[in-house]
Amino acid sequence: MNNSFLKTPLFQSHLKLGARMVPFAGFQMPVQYRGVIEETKNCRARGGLFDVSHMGQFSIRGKEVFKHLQPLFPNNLKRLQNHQAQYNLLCNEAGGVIDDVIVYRKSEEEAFLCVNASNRMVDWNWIQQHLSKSVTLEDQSDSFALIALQGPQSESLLKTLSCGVELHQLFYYWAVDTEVEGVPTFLSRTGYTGEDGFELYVPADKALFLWELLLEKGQPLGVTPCGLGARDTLRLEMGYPLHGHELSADISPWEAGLSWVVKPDEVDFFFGKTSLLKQKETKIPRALKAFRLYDKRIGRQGYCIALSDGTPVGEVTSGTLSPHLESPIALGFVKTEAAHEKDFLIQVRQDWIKAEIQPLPFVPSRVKKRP
Amino acid sequence: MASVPGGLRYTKEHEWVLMEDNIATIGITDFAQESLGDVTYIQLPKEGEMISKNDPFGVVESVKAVSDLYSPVTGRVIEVNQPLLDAPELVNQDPYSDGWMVKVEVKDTSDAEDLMDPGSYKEYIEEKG
Repeated sequence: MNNSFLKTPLFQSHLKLGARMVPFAGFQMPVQYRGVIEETKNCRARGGLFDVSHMGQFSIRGKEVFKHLQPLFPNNLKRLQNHQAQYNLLCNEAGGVIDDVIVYRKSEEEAFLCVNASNRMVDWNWIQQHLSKSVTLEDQSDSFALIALQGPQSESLLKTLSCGVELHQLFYYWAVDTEVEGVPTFLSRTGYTGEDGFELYVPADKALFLWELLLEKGQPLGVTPCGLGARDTLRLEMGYPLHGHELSADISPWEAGLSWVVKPDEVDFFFGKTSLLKQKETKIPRALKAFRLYDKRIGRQGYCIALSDGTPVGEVTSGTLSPHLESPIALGFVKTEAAHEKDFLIQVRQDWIKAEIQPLPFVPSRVKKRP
Repeated sequence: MASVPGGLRYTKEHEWVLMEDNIATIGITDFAQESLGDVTYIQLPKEGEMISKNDPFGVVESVKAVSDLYSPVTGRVIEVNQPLLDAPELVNQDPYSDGWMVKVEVKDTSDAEDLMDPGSYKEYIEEKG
């Protein structure tokens, strides 16, 4: 494979495990080890280990750092306590989504951002342009590897290692700086699968040691490595958006079903606020919908969505076979005028396939929320 | 490493063909099924249909991708692997036997001669892989 692609610190392990490597966001990443369906099922039944080291991390430090960051984010940063995480967005002035990110509040004077690999440079430029120079912005992506441990056995597996924390007291969207088997780890109870689980931000040079230890200790618990293929299927079963599919600089959070992230009543100013309020008052053009297809064929990104009478009303943004439902599922935008309909058709090559609107998530979430 | 059995001919699009007299059995290679991942749907022509060399004759769909199947020969389809249509995962499990797709009665028995032999196909996928 082309050598101009970047490798994560776990690259050699993926080869040893027989992964099929594909280029993704400039990296060579494992798309699957044994098969997307098997890995997806195993993650929900037992657990999965994912190398997501391609994702980017920025550290922002300084006095009143959250006050300075707020104008870049539509979700209210004041809601964050120390060690808490928040799903958030970077919006442009038109209200389009530059990226979806996780903001951590490490302390009163330190924010930590996890961003999508494919948007790392765009995010960096946007933040640098718009962030007050009185705080320090640092790209730490290359110093960190990121291991996601997801699935019902996650806590049991981490408990076999020395973690320095009471894991049962660490809840969904909370994180802590600790040491796992002596490796400095920013341990976060987050993930993008809908299952309980953790994400471990570890120094790049220590990542392979921890990854192999997790694989070894995970084996008796049935925890296996999972590739990007399973990761995509797992997030789609939850209806979680993926930038480049359900989110883009031309799609507003209202359209993407992310109104719960946007808090215009709580935040005085953020980029895109004026446009977003205007869009809400006048017209939100499209709505993101979830579909189940009654066929064996998969409706994929770009495929046409039509009403039962054949009138085109939208386009599929993501599609896969749901191993849980054993049926193809899809997300896609439809015109607001058609958004109340229940039955649609999706064009798969020369055929029109029946697609029924489904409530999200397709699979019930099992994350461990704070009681 | 993907398996490349002897006695077959191979296309650049990763189909294999077995010639027995004037009957060609066609399928996709181990390399192809590995690249596709879990196969979820296969569309094949019906018995009696004519298919032409280098033209698409069907579709194979996996969780991640859709690919056309290209015919290595010209002729009439005399048999379709029906069990495969109901259990497309057979392609992943056994691309060279249970995963065969169609049998074609060819007009020209030399149709497959310009295709790659196992040695050349092996080199071809090594370059790709």
